[in-house]
Amino acid sequence: MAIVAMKQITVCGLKHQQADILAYLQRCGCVQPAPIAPEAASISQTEAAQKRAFYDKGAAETKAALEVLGTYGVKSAPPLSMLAGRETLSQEACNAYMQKNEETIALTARILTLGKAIQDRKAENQRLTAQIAALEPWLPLAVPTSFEGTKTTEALIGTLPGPLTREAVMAILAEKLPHFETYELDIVFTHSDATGIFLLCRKEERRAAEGALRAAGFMRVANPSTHIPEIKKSRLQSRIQKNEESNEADIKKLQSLAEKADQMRFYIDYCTMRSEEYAVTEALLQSRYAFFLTGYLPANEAPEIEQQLQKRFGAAVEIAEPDPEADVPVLLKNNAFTTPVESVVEAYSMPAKGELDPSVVMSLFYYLLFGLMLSDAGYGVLIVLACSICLTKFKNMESSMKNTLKMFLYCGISTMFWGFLQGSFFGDVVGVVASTFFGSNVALGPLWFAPLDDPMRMLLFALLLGIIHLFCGLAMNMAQHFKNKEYREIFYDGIFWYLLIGGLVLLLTTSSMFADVAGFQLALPPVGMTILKGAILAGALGIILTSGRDSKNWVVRILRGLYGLYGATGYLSDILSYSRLLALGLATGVIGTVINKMAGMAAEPLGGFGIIVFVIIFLLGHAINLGINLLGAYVHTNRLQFVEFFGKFYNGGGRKFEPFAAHTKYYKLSKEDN
Amino acid sequence: MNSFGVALALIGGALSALFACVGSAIGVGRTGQAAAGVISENPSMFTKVLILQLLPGTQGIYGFVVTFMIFINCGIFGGSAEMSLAKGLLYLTACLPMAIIGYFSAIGQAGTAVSSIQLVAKHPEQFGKAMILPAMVETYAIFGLLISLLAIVNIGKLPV
Repeated sequence: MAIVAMKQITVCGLKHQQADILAYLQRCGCVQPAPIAPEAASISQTEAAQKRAFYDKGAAETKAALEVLGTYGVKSAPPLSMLAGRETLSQEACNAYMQKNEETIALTARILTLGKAIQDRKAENQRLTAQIAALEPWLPLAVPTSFEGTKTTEALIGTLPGPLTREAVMAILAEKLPHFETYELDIVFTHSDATGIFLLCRKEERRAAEGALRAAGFMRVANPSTHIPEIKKSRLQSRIQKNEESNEADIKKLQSLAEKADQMRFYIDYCTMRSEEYAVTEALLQSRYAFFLTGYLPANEAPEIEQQLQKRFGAAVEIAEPDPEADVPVLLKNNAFTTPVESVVEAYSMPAKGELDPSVVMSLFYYLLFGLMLSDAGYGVLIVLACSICLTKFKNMESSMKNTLKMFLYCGISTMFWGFLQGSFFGDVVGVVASTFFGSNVALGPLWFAPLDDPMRMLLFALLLGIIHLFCGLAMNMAQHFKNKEYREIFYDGIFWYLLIGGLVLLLTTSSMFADVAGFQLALPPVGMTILKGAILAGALGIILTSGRDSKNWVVRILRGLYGLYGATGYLSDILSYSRLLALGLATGVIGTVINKMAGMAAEPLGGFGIIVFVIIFLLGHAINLGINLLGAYVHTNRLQFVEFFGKFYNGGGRKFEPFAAHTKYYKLSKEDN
Repeated sequence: MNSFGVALALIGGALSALFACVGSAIGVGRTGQAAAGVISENPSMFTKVLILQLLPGTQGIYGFVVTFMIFINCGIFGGSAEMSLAKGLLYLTACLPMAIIGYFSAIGQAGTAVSSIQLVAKHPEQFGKAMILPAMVETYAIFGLLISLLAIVNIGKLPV
């Protein structure tokens, strides 16, 4: 186990080789440069920042262009593509793509322009459609909506609120005007909320007529047009038509560019790499002819890098032990069984200086607890199958994905193990199928016992597992103190607690109350009882005397010691917390049983046809149950590790080792050039 | 012996599913709104916020489990519907922890999950921690489930 030793590297090279050296280091991907002090910033750094901004913009624009292509017909990635991993590019292929970079930049601009034009036309068409909708009721009108009248007459075209008949409008006019029956009044349309009218009156009476109508809520047409509504409508329609045709043509153009998507993806990767490179350049110490880089790298990589840098570039390289005060980045390395849970440790926090890597002990319990919470052999088989198929089919998978799948593979194996011990295979499907379709009472019995038959026994087992888990945490704490040569703390923070908690648990098992619940009782001879009580007392006394060892004042020290002893209640709640192992396991089993029962009840009266119904309910129900309980098991396993287990010894706070490398999205670059 | 006990037991079962599921429905509804807000800004966060959205949904499932245990124990799925009044009342009481804790813990967990969703929106790499915070609240729902289940299983063995 498990924290990789780090070395400090210092490189001093000539400025004209700076780009090559950085490119080499980026390909190796095993050096993490340390940032320099801000006061050492020089002019070349602003230049580097500008270059970086250029490449960042390039990546963002090309990405946007790729999205435009995606909207109009570049076929999207196949469903399992996230498992497939990145394609590896040789140096030649890389160079060939680099030749096309200029072309790609132009292409990106073109695609973005086309995409924007299509969007604009779509927006315009929406507006035009709205205009047509507004125009629709005026179609019967034989004059333009902007028609104002003749030499002696004036026209009023507009709407009145509410549905009105011609007589009703006449009545409105009649109130104010003497000659209203001589006017030309047409009702153009009548809707439930508005009535469109055309009124032609004598010029001198227009004012009075409009006044009368306005009092009744009259409004002139909002956007009058110089064309007859029918012609206007056909004009609008032809414009929509034209826009659509242009869009189709542009989309065809975009589709013909689909084959260029690969070089655009490469350009995004290229920009990302260059941007990362300039980010490092910004942090370099530079003089007129030389540059100076310092950083950390894993000790085992150091000789190779040192040799290559000297041989290829003639740079001055110095490898040294890191400064003991320095905040050295942390890299974990474990065996195949433990590596998958490193990401879980990382999700909590990387080990701080002087801390042990908890991965190894954690991995064992992680798989164990996960399996116990899911505890269904059928689900375990499914997980194992799914993970192993993916792992064998996609060899080129990204390592983070591979590790996640491996973690679930091991969890699945553990789930199978617990499932068979507890006799749960898709709930009780064997028994239900046997009794529903074959009328027999064959059932899959548990190899150990079924938790639903004897939940108290399972609860005690869960709590026992919890005590073991917590004591392992305490053991890790002691190992930690041992490593840091704090031998007295091994007693203060480890042994005393073992005596107290272990003693109390044993004492509880000798009580008659425990016997009522568990069905057995630990019988100790009187000497044993005395030793046990002595151990508890010793532990308690030890804790009272040493928990407050930070303070000089004895009164304060004892008071703080008593408070430390109060921490024993924390152990009580920690241990009880493991009862979730029983609860979640029961939940999986009971819901599985419910699904089978429903499927059986639905299928039984249907005879042969019932098999189909049974299968449908079975598949659907168990898919949901598996999904929900997978989530539950994952979340609560993490919780038991983070809160109960880590709480005993692990703080974290280390910085993750993030080497300068090419964090590309689409292509992997081969490490060796040529 | 009479069948009034079964009615009481069934009331208990109904309460358990009712309150726990209503709590979960409210909770998942709230987290869903927050999740949709995050997705509107960044669709690639879908899987992460979906997991966080589902966290307050488990109380409903626990309530359902307790209800189902009542069904089995009081003979709804076939068997004798004879149950003493005392036993029925015991079953009803056994359901209360799940019903009440389920309701409140689902809503409490939803509040934490909403905050976690906002946390993940800002710092997607902190997903692990964001998930643990709502899971803390769930502990109490699990205790409720455990108490109800243990009680139901053991009431069957009581000579009342």
